[in-house]
Formats: sequence, structure tokens, C-alpha cells
Amino acid sequence: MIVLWGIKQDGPLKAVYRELSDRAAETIWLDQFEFRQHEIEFSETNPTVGYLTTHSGRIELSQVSAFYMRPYDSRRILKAAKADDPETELKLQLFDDAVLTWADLTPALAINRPSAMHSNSSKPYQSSLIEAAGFDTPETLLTSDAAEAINFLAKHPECIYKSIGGTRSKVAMIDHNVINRLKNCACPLQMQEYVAGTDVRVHVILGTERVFACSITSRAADYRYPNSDSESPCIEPIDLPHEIAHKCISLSRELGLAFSGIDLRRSPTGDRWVCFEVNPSPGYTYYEQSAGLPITEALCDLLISGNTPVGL
Amino acid sequence: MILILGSERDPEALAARSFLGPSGAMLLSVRDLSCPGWKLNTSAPGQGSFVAEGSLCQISAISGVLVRRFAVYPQELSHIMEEDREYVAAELTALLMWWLATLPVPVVNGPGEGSLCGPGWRQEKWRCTAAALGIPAIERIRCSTKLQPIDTMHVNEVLVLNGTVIKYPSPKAAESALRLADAAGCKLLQAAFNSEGEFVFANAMPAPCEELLRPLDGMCKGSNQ
Repeated sequence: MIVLWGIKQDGPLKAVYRELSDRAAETIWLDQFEFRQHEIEFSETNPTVGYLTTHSGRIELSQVSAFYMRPYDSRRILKAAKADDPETELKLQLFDDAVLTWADLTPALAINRPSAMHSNSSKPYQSSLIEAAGFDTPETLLTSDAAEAINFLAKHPECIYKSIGGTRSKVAMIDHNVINRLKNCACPLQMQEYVAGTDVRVHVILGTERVFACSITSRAADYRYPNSDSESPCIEPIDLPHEIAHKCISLSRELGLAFSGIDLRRSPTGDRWVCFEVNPSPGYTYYEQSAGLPITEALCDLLISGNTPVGL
Repeated sequence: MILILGSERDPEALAARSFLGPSGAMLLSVRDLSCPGWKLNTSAPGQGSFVAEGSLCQISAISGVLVRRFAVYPQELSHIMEEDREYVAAELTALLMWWLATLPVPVVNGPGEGSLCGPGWRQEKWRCTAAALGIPAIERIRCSTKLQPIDTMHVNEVLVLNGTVIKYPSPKAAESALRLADAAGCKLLQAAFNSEGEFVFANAMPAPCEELLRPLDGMCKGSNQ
């Protein structure tokens, strides 16, 4: 049995559920808005022993072969459900915590294990792991020293800044106004050399070792935030060079991610491939629909197999 | 110099600072993280500068790090505007996660899964790992409708530092603790066992007692030679 965890409005979960239903795979959707019915209980030393209660009944955990999760922040769920009283909040927090704990311990295929997601909470930390996997990364400075920032800007006249942590932030070009604000900064600023070129998004599915790549062309510094129609991204499927595809598979495995979304940029001459980030819970349907890539189909192949990829 | 990453309100951090002496250790608090002077280039993590106890210091002067915090918490950031505290706490935690993972000196404990100190494992994962390693562990049922009880029934504690057992209640417990530390990639670990010899819980941030600080000091001095 395959269990999906998240909300019914989530694009990737909707796509996976539809595909699994079409293939008649036994699937339960643990809809976060049905939280009042949800319970889980398991043995810590043998997490296949126990049960999960959903809105449609009780499941023995030994029957769960795969678990695909894209949970939303429980505070947002409670707010939307107008149920943010302390007792309900505690119940939901306890459930989320127990499910995340179980997902880390179960021998069932989990996409992705919570323990494998942590590197995304620190961009420079994840970059160090990306480098260790053989990818080039942009030169990066973390500083609260204005003179050092000016030196870095002199070395890299085109420079961007972005959050250090996992908070999604708009990537923006840096200028002296930003540097002037360092005098009163609350924390060091992350500056990065700007790498010119074409964005490439890669989705890796281990086990079946499938790699799906698309190029994204946009005039915006951050294609996710176009300022006008003329900056709207153009997304097209591409074939990756064998060496880059192999590195993407190795990187996903090193990070313990059965399914990942990897952000690359190819230099205009094509001889430099820089890796910026790996998303451990990719909202892939945007790329799938724009580029016509069969990511859902490949993801469902892995979920139906129930096999945890080798090395994870 | 051993850098103690902790809070000015953590008595254990202050005691460790005092034991190691003014020339042997410095305390890096959250206020230091908000001071000008930090210069960290990710391509050269052993170079640059940082701020500790309000003073500008060179990274090359650090011989080791004793980590006394799991994260930077918004509640600690009284010097930051309230609406920014959650974001700044996440940024500072992320900065430290990278820095501690890449500093070319012993870091006890280095960061792990969502924690600045050690692997960040829940007690359930420690017990599950122990069972998988063939180490007898107490049986617990995790239930989402109840708060987890606090484990108080341990009687024997083993302290492991860098593959060596410091506290040694029994050879079997010592061997089990070493295997657990190895499985978790932990330099420093406190493992507790009950009177039946079953593993009860692990702690990757034990109090830095004298028995621990002496070998830690030696380990860091050794890394500088």
C-alpha cells in the first residue's frame, strides 16, 4: 500500500494520486485537513509494528510499502480550518512529529526521509556537500564586514545575495546600497558571484535512475519571480551530457534523496556547469507541464516498486 | 584556543570557559553573530575572521570547538526587532551549520540532521538504531495521542569522546556506547543504560565535566601541532 501525506490542493500529490489510481495501485491519501481522525502508533525498535488511522480506517504499518510526503505547516492547516485552539494545535503537532519520526525509521520506501531533508536548511552547508559530489559551485562570501563585501564586489562586479537558510528568498543583484546596510545588520550577508548562463532544472529519481532535465530561459535574475511578461521563463526539455547526469544521480544519492530537484546553470560556452541548490521536496509539476517530462510516471514506478534505492 | 559555541546564560558553557582559562577558550554567543567583522569565504573555511566575546578574532586561532547549542532560537535574539527574530534565528543557524561542518579543526559535536550539535536524532531513532545493531534497548511504543514520557530510569552512563570511553560502568555498556557513537558519527556521546543493561537514551550534548574537558583540550592541542 502507498500512503500519500499532504493536502488535496498540492500539485505533485494530485498528479501522483491520479497516476496511481489509473494504475490501480492501492493508495491512501492522508489528507492533512482530515487531521481529527488521524492517529499513528508504532514500536520504536520495530516500526513495522503498529497502525495508522486515517479518515477511511485503520492500516497496519506492515502493509505500507511506500510513503510520499509533502506536508504543509500544521499552523497554516489549523488557520485555514479555523481550528487553531491550543488543544487541537497540540494534537496536530504530536501527530506530525510522530509521522515524521516513523518516516525516518520505517523500512518502507519514504520519499524523502525527513533526516535527508536537513541540508536544505543551510545553503552554504548544502553547497559544501554539492562540491564534495563533484559539482562546481559559485564563489560565496558570508560577511558582516562592509570592506570585505566591497572587495568581493570588486572581484565579482556582478554579484547576487540571497538568504543563508532554507527560507525561500528572491535572488537579487547586489549594489552599494545593500552593502551600506551591513553596518546595522542582524546577521552576515550571503554574497555570491553571479554566474551567467542558462538555468537547468534536473529531477532525479533513484532506484530507476531516471533523470529529467529542462532548460529555463528568462531575462530575470531569478526566473521564479519575473517582473514582467517579457521576463516570463521559457521552459524546454533538454538532454544532459552523460557526465552531468551521472553527477546528479550521485549527488541525490549522497544527500540520501530518492527524489530530488537540482538547480544547475550552464555557462554560455557550455563548459561550466554550476550547481546552486538541491530541493528535497520538489514541486516538480510546474516543470513537468511546461516541458512535457514524464516525471509523475517515473515517480509512480518507484512508489509502486516500494524499493528503497540502494545506498539510502 | 577552544571556541565554545553557547549562550551566556548556559552555566555549563560558562563553567567550561572558566575551566579552560582565558587564554584557552572563548565563548561565542548570539550577540557576537550580529556584530560586524565576520568574514567567511566558503572556499577557504580555515581563513577569515569572526567575533567572540565582542572581539574580532582570526579563524586560524581556533584549535577546536565545543558546541553547546542545537540551534539559534528566536527567543534569544532580544537585540533584534521582534518581527525579524524568527528569520534571523534561521539565518544564523544556517550560517553556523555550514561553519561548524567545514572548520578544519575538531568540532565536538559537529552538526547533523537539523542540529548544530550532533546528529539531531530523536530518542526513537537512537533506540531503533541500537536495536538494529543488536544492542538491547528498552521497548517503547510511540503514540501520536500522548506526549512522550521523559526517560529517568537509567542507572549507568557511558561517556565517549573521539572513540575513547571516558566513563566506564561496564565493558558491555562501553562497547555498546562506542558502537552507537560510531553509527551516529558522533565524537562525543553520553549513553544511558538501565539496571538490566538495556539502552535507554543518548545525549550528544552532555555537560562538559572535567573528565571530558581535559582530553578535549589535549585533542584540540594535538590537532594544532
